[in-house]
Amino acid sequence: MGSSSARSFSTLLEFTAGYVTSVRWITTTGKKVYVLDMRAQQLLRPLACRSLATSHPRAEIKAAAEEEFRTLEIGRKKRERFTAKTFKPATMLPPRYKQQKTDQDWGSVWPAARTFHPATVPFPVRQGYPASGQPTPDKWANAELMKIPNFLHLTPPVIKRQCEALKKFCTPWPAGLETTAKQEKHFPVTVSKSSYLHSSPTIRDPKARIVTLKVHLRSLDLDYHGRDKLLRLVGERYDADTDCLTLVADRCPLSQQNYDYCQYLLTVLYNESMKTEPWEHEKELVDLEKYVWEGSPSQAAAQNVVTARGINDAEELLKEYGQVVTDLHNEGEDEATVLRYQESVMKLLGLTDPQDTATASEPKYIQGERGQDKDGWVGQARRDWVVRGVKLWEEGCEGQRDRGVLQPPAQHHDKNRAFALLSLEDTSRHLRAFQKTQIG
Amino acid sequence: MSAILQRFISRSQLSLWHNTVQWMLPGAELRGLHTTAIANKAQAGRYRVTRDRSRPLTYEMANQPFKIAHRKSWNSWNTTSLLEGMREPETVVEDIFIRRFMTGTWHNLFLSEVIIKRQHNMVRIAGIVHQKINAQKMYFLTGYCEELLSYWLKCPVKLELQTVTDKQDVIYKYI
Repeated sequence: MGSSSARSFSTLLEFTAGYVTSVRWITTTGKKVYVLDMRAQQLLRPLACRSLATSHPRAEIKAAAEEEFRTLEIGRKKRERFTAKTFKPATMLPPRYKQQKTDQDWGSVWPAARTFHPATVPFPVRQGYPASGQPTPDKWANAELMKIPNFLHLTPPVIKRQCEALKKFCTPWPAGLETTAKQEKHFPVTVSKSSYLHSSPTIRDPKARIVTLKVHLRSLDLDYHGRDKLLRLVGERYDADTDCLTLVADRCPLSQQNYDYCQYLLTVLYNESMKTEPWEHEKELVDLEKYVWEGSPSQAAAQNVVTARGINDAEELLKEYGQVVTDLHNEGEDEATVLRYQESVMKLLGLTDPQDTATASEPKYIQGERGQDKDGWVGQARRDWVVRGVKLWEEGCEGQRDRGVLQPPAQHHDKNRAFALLSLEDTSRHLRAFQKTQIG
Repeated sequence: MSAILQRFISRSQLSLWHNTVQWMLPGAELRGLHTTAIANKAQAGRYRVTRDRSRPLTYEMANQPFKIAHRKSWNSWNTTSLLEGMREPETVVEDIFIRRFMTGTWHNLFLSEVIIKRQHNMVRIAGIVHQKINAQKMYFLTGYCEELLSYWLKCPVKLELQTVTDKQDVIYKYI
């Protein structure tokens, strides 16, 4: 670089009318060459200009000679008073809000999201915690107002205008899909996925790949076996409360792939459910998904009872009993099912219902101990005991009454009432009393 | 025991001894020798009060860090700290870089903190600037910063500055 610049320098010298070229010796070191090159250029620039302008150098010297002589200053030089360099503010335009009219179009003043600017916003606004004895910081030079997001670009007229502009892209709601039932009928499958917008330069989010497919089982064309098999296949993906099957796919990297996988899964599930494999016939009683009364020991027992009692129109009775037993097994033992079971059993066995003459509508034989009677088995056991005890009691009473030994208690004179008020303990007590009387 | 030790031995010596013991007997129980920094002497964001109450504070300086979200808000706004937010380390490093670049480019001009707000893929940089340089230079610096930062951060960058004529405009109180 040094040598080339020096070369250009020397050519420049030669061009500028053959002035003294004693600086040529400097070409040995690079740095010096650069400095001197610049200096020489500055030195030579007026000469070059002059040579171009073809004016004589002596004219300028003459003009300088006409200036005043320098005055001789004797003594100490007076020092000029030092003044601090003051910053002169440039002429500023007035803030914009002073030029805004009251009926201006605010949407064009503030068209898009932007940081708060006090000169543009025409209204006074304050934000911040006031220092003691001072008002709340106003909008000028208030960094807090610049930090917070504002909605000055989303005023109601602007939103209205934008909605009007978007309206031409909207299509009417399809006819025949007004109600939810109709939508469900025509579009039974719901596919959902999420898109994520972060404040970051990337629009990729790994969570966006997840696809969820929902379908109601009632909208699938399944028979009893198919439904049962499907439920066994999907496991926890079926929600019995909403009758909804939910498939979630997130194993593929793209949502499209996951969507395809969901569709594939649904197809395969349906077809597999509709198939009956040979090994499925090996299903035994314990493998049943729920209690089936037909062919059960309970049915045989009930049939026995019916034939023993010699009832003619037992069809309805058996059907009702079967339904009640099925409910008891499938729905679980709660107060309602146990009560229905009780009624059904009594009807089947031809026992009188103690509730008819008892005072209240709830089963009185468990009155006072209802809290302990939540377990159906205990209730059943107690009921058996009570029935057996009352029978013994009646037999005993009849025997005693014949001999004039024992009179039933006054409050127990009614048979049904006695049945109602007896508890397990009472029964055992009465039994013991009865036994004593027998022995005695 | 440890109090007596600390009276006669300096903290660095204690620390050295602690390290030595740990090296010789790794996991040795040294509960009495606590050599970490004192936690209740936080100094960040706190300014010393002068006798003549001449230290000017801006609103940002006057409110301590624990008053963020109560009296003052954050200087960086983005979605990284939300649940399952993304790019947290990258965003922090970018913010540090932006702050350094802005304070260096607008040398002695920023009177407030550099506020960085991210919205979708856009970065908005806000702040209050002193009108020390003329408007042309400011326009140049604005364009320069936007151009360079958007090239480096690979996303649109906008500078939304407010200017004040006097430094006193941003002073909130004197302590």
